[in-house]
Amino acid sequence: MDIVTKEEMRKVAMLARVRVEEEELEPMAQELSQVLAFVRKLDALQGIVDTIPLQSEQQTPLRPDEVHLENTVEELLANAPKTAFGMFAVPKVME
Amino acid sequence: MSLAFQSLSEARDGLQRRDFSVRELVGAFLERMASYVSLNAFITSRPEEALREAEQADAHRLQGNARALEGLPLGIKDVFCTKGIRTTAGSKILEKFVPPYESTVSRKLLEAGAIFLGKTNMDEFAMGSSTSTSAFGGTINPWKRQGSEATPLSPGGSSGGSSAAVAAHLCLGAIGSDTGGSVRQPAAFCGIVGLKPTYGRCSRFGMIPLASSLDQAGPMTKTVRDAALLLSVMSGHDPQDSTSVEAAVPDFEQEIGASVRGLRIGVPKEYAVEGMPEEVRQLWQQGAQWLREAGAEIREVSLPSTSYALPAYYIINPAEASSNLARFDGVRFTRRTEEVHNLWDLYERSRAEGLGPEVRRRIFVGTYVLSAGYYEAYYLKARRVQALIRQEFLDAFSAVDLLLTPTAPTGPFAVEEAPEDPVTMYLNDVFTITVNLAGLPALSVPAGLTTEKTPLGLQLIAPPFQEGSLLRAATVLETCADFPSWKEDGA
Repeated sequence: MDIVTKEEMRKVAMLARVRVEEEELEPMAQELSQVLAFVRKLDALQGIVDTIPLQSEQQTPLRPDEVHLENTVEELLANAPKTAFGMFAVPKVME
Repeated sequence: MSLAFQSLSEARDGLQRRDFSVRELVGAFLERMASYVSLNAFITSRPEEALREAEQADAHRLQGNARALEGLPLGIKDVFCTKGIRTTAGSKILEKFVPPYESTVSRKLLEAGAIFLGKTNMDEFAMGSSTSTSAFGGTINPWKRQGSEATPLSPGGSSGGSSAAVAAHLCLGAIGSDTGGSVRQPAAFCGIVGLKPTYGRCSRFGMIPLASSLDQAGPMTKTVRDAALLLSVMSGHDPQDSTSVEAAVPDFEQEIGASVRGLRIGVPKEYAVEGMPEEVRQLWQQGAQWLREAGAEIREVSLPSTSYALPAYYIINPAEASSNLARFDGVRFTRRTEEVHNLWDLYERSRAEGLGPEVRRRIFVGTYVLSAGYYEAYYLKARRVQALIRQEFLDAFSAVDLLLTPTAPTGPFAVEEAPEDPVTMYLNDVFTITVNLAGLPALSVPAGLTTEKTPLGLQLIAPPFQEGSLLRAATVLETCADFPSWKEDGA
């Protein structure tokens, strides 16, 4: 039941930006495979559901483009782990 | 007897008659919160602030300016952003997050005069059915099994802090959120009422999202009347949530006691799942009988695709969760891992260290089903199944006005019995998940006890925006069941 291989798991972890240590890749791939095997029950509906249109009852509503002042820069930065010069600070991105 | 044992509406009426003050009422709850700290129902409590607010509420009442919930102490799930009050969603990654803004639901409650005693415990990011995945420790159900009183029971989840707090009389009522049953299943496990409104009835603004197309806020209370009272305050269109609906908000309390004569109630045959315990099956039949005796008509109905709801849900939920949780990146408002080499490392390590195992698992499942090559096979197919399930409900509602089912397949499980593999745990939501997929309103009402004297709930499901008929039928079940609310040992 290895729907997800170790290499695929590595890729998923990379896409999700969640660190998975080398030795955790294999068990994590198995856990994922277990969940995916369960959700693949939907394959039984192949050919039956393919023509069902997706719900689109609600239109995206529009509202007037008005300015509301809710949060200031200081308030928004208050929860940041690191700030500098009134901005979020991150490690250097250029060598 | 402690003032804490009243219902929300009884307390409101008592304050109106000046039988006691808000300060006395709040004091009674703070005393109980301190005595029952071992239940771990609250992540953050705010006793001093609550007492200060109680004095203001007493002043309002004396001036004759009492609002709908003036001075009524509530608990609110830690998934609602509350301005100036730490909001964690049960996660280590948000352990220091203090929102600079108020969620719409909490704002409406505060504007109606409610007092928040604290933020209630929950499964991390509302992912769970046991309230055991909280980074702040699990919550314990105040109920105990007769004969094995030493075994701690799960309060259900993910709103298990709210349900345990209401059941143990640590607050008059509480607010939860329901993505796949997270209001109704814990309500059933703790012997209280839990209502999940129609998708779009309450604003999701400021509610930390799990699966945005399924999430709804809902009241968790000691009585059906109390649920009606809170729902009237919480409901309404909000320009800040584009999925909230412009529908009239009736005074739901008017529905309490209204007749169910002539109401057609469907019993979906697919919900009689294999392995359902006899006591659950019997209670379901008893519930139908009570409604019949009150003048309702009971009919069998069919919802043929029910068994596909759970797999569809466990594609849609992780897919939306993985997108929603991308915001927790260690840069803007979450904890950050120090000792990193570069930005990529910062993201990966902050997320790995800040998020628990179930949350990481769902992020991975979601990332996988949304990734190139799998999107059509998993996500789009699940959305089509969701549309099919919704259509089957709407077809059933052409023949009946409401549906009656059990809320959960079992009574509360022991904390140590909580299934370890994710798929078995997911099965606990088999009767509640369909409702979220279809966007319908539903309510769990405590209706009976297991042979071990722990609570069992019955669920009523209504067509969109028919919360009123839910409340009407639930009142009949509540009256007939005469459910014994939780009492202290020897009380």
